[in-house]
Amino acid sequence: MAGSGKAHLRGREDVLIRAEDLVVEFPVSKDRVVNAVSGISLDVKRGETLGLVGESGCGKSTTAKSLIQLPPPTSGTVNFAGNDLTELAGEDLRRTRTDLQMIFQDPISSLNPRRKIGDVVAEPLRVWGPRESTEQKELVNAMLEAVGIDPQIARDKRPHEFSGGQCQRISIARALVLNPQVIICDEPVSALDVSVQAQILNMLEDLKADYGLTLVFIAHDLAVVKNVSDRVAVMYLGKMCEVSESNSLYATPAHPYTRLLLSSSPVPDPEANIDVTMVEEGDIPSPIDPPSGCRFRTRCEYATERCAQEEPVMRPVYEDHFVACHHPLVSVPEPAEVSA
Amino acid sequence: MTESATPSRSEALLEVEDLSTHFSIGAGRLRAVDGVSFSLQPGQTMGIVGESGSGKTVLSRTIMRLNLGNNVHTSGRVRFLDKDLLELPMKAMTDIWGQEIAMVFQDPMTSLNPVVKVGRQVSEHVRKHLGVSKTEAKKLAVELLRSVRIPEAETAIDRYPHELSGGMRQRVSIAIALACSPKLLFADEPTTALDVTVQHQILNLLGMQQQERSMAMVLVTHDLGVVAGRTDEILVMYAGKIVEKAKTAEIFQTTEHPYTEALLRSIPKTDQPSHTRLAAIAGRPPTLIEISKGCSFSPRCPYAQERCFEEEPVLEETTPGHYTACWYRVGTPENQEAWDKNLAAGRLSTLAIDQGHIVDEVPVNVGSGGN
Ligand SMILES: Nc1ncnc2c1ncn2[C@@H]1O[C@H](COP(=O)(O)OP(=O)(O)O)[C@@H](O)[C@H]1O
Ligand SMILES: Nc1ncnc2c1ncn2[C@@H]1O[C@H](COP(=O)(O)OP(=O)(O)O)[C@@H](O)[C@H]1O
Ligand code: SF4
Ligand code: SF4
Ligand SMILES: [Mg+2]
Ligand SMILES: [Mg+2]
Repeated sequence: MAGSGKAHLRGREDVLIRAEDLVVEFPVSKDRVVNAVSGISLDVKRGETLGLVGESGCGKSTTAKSLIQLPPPTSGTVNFAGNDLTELAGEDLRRTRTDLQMIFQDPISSLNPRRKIGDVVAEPLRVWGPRESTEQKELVNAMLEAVGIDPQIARDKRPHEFSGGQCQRISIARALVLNPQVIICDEPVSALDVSVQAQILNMLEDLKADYGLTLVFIAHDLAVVKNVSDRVAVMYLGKMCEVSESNSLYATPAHPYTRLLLSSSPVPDPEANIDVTMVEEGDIPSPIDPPSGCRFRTRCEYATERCAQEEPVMRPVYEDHFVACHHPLVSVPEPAEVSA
Repeated sequence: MTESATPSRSEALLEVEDLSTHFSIGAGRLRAVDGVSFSLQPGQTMGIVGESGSGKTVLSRTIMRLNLGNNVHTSGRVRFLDKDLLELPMKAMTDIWGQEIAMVFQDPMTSLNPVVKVGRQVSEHVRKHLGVSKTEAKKLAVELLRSVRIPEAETAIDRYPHELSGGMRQRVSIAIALACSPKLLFADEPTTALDVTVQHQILNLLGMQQQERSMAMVLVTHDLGVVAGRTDEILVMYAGKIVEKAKTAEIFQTTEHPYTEALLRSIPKTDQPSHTRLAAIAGRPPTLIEISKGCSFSPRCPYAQERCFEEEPVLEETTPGHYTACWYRVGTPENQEAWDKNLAAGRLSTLAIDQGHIVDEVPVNVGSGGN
């Protein structure tokens, strides 16, 4: 069983979501598959924000979608509030799924251009909401207000009459209208200007507090992820590299890939040290034929023979800070024996 | 060109004077670039930053005389070495492209031909501009691809653009841009579509090539992080105008314009603790069509006072080499006073910065107490 260990998972009783050994494969030809997600385990406590970070194609969106079973993973389990979603089907699954809503990167195209904003936000209510149309209307108004949009002005307008940031807020209102427990945000600010990004990030923090939400927040910008997350998971080529309480991850990254990401991220400070020596791309492997052992080894300056032979397993390095690497960038006490 | 420790204005490689580019559109005249002046010395790097729609691309394309459509009105002067670019016949301009001024865009496919092998695209460019033989050009192409760190350049020349990663395609377009050793490279968001590690390599590559070739560069980006460690000077654009211009370290350390300051405060940073509240900028940029009195940032500015709504601030040299267009510059006692006054009055644009709330609608050009 492919898997990078589960030492980073917490007690079942403490968490709202617990996904174990998620594998998602996409067939590309008769005997070849894209190994999009290869044994990811994660958990999220109630009221927590888990950040998922990594470069494009590492499997962030696929992981997120497999949490809500759209589509279900090839294998693995997703436990949500005591139910294994991979075991649910039909009406039961759809009902449970109303508790887990998702928002996407491109707000304008994720809203139906022909529908009025009021109807866009009310859409999830048609199946699962209150029957009474006045009650529905009140809910829609309340949600639009919660995201800072005046329902009296907005209800009868269409998406193109709003800016990108406003459309993203409208899609958040739609996600909130069924009073979900979890919102999965897939790159919600990646297409926005920084000043608008700041509004959305602040707003997500406010909504989280006001509605007691639990968030999974995906982005490729490390600073953005840190800003909203309590805990951050770094992914590379379908695997989890490092999971940590967020401040600790940035202060003392233990995985060579995390450190590479951090040292590559542009910092708005002219005094910051830039490593100007890196000019080569390195060998970026394909998820169709990933490297043996550690998937990062083709780009890792610390790789040894062992890294090609043996897959590293998640293990603790600091308090609430875990890494899957044979030669982490810390002096580790003897690796704790971890059951995988 | 003579060498001297303190380059005078006349030694500038590029000098842009009062440049404006307006578009006639149905609703009126859209002032995409309005009265921009700056100069660039040989070998220097200028960063142009601003949020989307601030006029960065139109400014770059105007300077390079790239096609902007037939509804365009340009005025001002662009001097490159001893040539007045806006006055040159198109034929002379095409000779300058690629030879003396080259460009790299966000999407490398805008300059690459999808159905021609990359090696041939580089060698044809070399042949056309350097007039060398076919075999010589092929050799040069391999060398150029090597210089932009494309692995196994000898075999890579036989690839089509779609067979390469985004980063590799950008390297090919950089190879073409560098082929004739231009004196100036315009890079318009060259790494915006790339992953951070690839962005980092490409920016390093550009910097390295620039040094090797003593080439000047204009680096256009929406990302203040990208320009921070990689430019000598920065222009901050807002609504088609330069609002602040200074040496890179100064822009960050002694920020003077309220817009620059607001941008910097709205960016999350990895050295801030998680859950740090970010500054939000109220409202939206102006449409660029209606001409408004006063400062174009005034509806959104946390410090705006009566004067800001009436009188447009001019870009003034505040300390040597630092230019700012603002009546109440950040760091002055007047600025502090304006802040206190607006905060006490509950001005929405001031609260947005202070508390990070969303404010969509801000009244345009009304008194400073208005909220
Ligand atoms: N429907 C699909 N069919 C085939 N491959 C896919 C599909 N969706 C995603 N992939 C591949 O799976 C990998 C992970 O993709 P994704 O989860 O979208 O990454 P991320 O969100 O981190 O950018 C990529 O290699 C991508 O090309
Ligand atoms: N061909 C055109 N016709 C009309 N308006 C244009 C044209 N090109 C750009 N604009 C407008 O000019 C302004 C500046 O655009 P641009 O220079 O592309 O901004 P930036 O590169 O800073 O994002 C925008 O409002 C844009 O819509
Ligand atoms: S396991 Fe080996 S190859 Fe992988 S990140 Fe650690 S040192 Fe590098
Ligand atoms: S203080 Fe006045 S002049 Fe300065 S940016 Fe604000 S509105 Fe413009
Ligand atoms: Mg994705
Ligand atoms: Mg642009």
